[in-house]
Amino acid sequence: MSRQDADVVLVGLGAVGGVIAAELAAAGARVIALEKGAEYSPDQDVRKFDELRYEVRNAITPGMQSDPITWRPDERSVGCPLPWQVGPLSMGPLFLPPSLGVGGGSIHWAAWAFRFREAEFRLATTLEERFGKDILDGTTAVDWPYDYDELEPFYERAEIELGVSGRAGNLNGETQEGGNPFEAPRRSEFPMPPLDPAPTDTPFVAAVKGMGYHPYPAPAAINSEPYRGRSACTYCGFCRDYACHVGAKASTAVTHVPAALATGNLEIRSFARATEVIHDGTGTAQGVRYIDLPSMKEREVHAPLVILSAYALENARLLLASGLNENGQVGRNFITHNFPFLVGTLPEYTNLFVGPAVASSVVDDFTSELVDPAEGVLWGGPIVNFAGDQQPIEAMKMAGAGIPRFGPEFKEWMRQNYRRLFSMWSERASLPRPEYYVDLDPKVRDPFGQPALRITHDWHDSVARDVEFILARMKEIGTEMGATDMWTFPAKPPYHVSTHEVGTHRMGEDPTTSVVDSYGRSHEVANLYVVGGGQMPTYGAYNPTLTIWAMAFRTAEHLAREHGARTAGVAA
Amino acid sequence: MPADWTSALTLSRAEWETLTAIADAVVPGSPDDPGAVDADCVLYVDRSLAGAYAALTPIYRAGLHQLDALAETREGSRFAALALEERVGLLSELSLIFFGAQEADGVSPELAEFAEQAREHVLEGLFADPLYGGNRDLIGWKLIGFPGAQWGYSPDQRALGFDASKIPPKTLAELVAETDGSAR
Repeated sequence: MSRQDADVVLVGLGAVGGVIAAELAAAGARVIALEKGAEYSPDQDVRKFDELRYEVRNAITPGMQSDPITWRPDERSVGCPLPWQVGPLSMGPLFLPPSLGVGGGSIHWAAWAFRFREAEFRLATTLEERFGKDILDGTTAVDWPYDYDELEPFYERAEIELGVSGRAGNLNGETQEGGNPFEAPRRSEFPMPPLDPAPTDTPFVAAVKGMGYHPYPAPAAINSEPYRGRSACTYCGFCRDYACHVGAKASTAVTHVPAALATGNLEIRSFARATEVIHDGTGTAQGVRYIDLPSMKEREVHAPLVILSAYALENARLLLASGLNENGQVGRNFITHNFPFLVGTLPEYTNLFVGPAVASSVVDDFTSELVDPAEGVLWGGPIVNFAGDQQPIEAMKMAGAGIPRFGPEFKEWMRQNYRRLFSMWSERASLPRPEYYVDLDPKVRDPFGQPALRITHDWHDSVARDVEFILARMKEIGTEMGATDMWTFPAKPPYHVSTHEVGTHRMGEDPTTSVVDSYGRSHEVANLYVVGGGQMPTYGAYNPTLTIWAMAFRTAEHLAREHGARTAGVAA
Repeated sequence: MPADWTSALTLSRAEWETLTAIADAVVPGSPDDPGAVDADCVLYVDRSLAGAYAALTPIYRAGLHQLDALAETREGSRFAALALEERVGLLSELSLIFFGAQEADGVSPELAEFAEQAREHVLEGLFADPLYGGNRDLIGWKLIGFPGAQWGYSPDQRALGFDASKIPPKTLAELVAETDGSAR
């Protein structure tokens, strides 16, 4: 190799990039990380108590002027810039890709830290067992290349290193009082006890217990007590969509990136927009080409190992923009989450702006494969008490259709009900189908001349049906809680980006039907790894981040071993 | 006193007056129960149009003009001259049209969308931190009992039924002034 700037060049220093950079740097590899966004400092975090800046004007999520994405429901339609990116009615950062900057999506995230269920690693088989062989017709669903047991040690490592609060429900097969009785077996208890439950959790837990369900405290990647040099949560209520002002919420910006920098082996280049993987067309990558935003100059980093860890959407866009799609599988199998959501009001003050949304309870009685097949539900979802982070501007946007929108009656509604809101949410993943995919938009480009990503996706009737089932269960719970009013969001919502996109560079052992192997190594380019949620062949009913972290730790250990073997070889 | 049209950075006097009539119809005020106009929501929108929402300025000019034209057609006078009830009625009708719950009846989709947009921006002005020019005297936060930028909440304050209006609301600037700029 003629030029080598580092041992590794990594694109995207977020949730995944942060842990991989730390592992490789600790193993002695010199890593250059290209990060499209900023390197934030704690003085900026203190200024985060600003709903307009972060929640409404999307200060840390990709702007659709600089990072356009287009969407169309089907191939007969022309892709248009997403309606919520430039239209007058904003919909908030939840319906954009995750936050940019060092820490990536682990800055803005709400910190729900679920493990996937055992059945979610063999979703295709489970569906066939429950509904017969035909059930997968029209889908491209397959089982994962490994099972839950393979990932369990990495889940444990993620929970310990990032810091997750919760209560075990299944320790080595033994059911534990107070935890989730349906959870997959864990080798160890959570490193911290659960967060204090939010105000609305009292009526939620009472209602679901009375209905015979099994509530448990949501696993939260937020410190319930001081942990590894980081503070405990202050319950400020500016958590989802915001950085944490005390570093209590897990983000690689406060855990693994500082550790990687301390080794002296990580160099961060922020405001660096990767444009393509440099490769010779014969299966070897030389490095990454990028635009250095401060100088507006095109630059290159050359390294023998190239890692893309820039989110499922940007990873796919970079592969396609680099001409790396030999088998046509890049961007196929796009999957995202539909969020069944119920909002309502209770007689007493619930103060939904107090504390993080995740400081609450969950019931898994209808989750994934646990829902009774006789209900006709393909794949269920958890019912989660969405218990905090509800500042006023967003709250007023969530007011239901029957609520007055103008005048004295609207004013009185706000006065009476802003402090009496409660909400529940769930997640229903779509199944991968040939007609849902991402590719490069043939027309739209970003301001730097790079092609925009185009999403072709619509909500399948089977998803909407399952969402309606979950919404009906939520309404029953809300009634038990004593709701004075309730309304729900549409089962086929207007968004097609949920910050939970996966599947776009599927992992698998067969190089004709997948993009990468189980570690994220490209089938097409031997020294290129493409890692993150984009690897997932099918999708669980929980927030993906902890699973993405577990997958990243598995890849990180593999890469560190390989680096060790290489350097040992050189030394010998 | 809330700012008047002489503070405008973007809007003409007539546009300011029409927008004031919209803001007053979104959240009306009275001497002992202030509303959106008292909270400087018009100033907030005007400043936003001079800055972050500059791209929307033409939409505002067209929308305010069309709203006045609709009021002239329907009631024989400009929007700002209508009584509160009439303004609330007209805007509620535009809202129903925007959400597809009522026939457009000659109303342009642009006008229906503009009315929703202006409503959304008025509410931003009511509930955003006062740094942005609205929420004067924390009128918005006091209206709904939101305590603003709080470093955190105590266990007592986190109990079901707690009356959060007992917590003195705090602005971002006040909170930041209490720190040395770095929290961790």
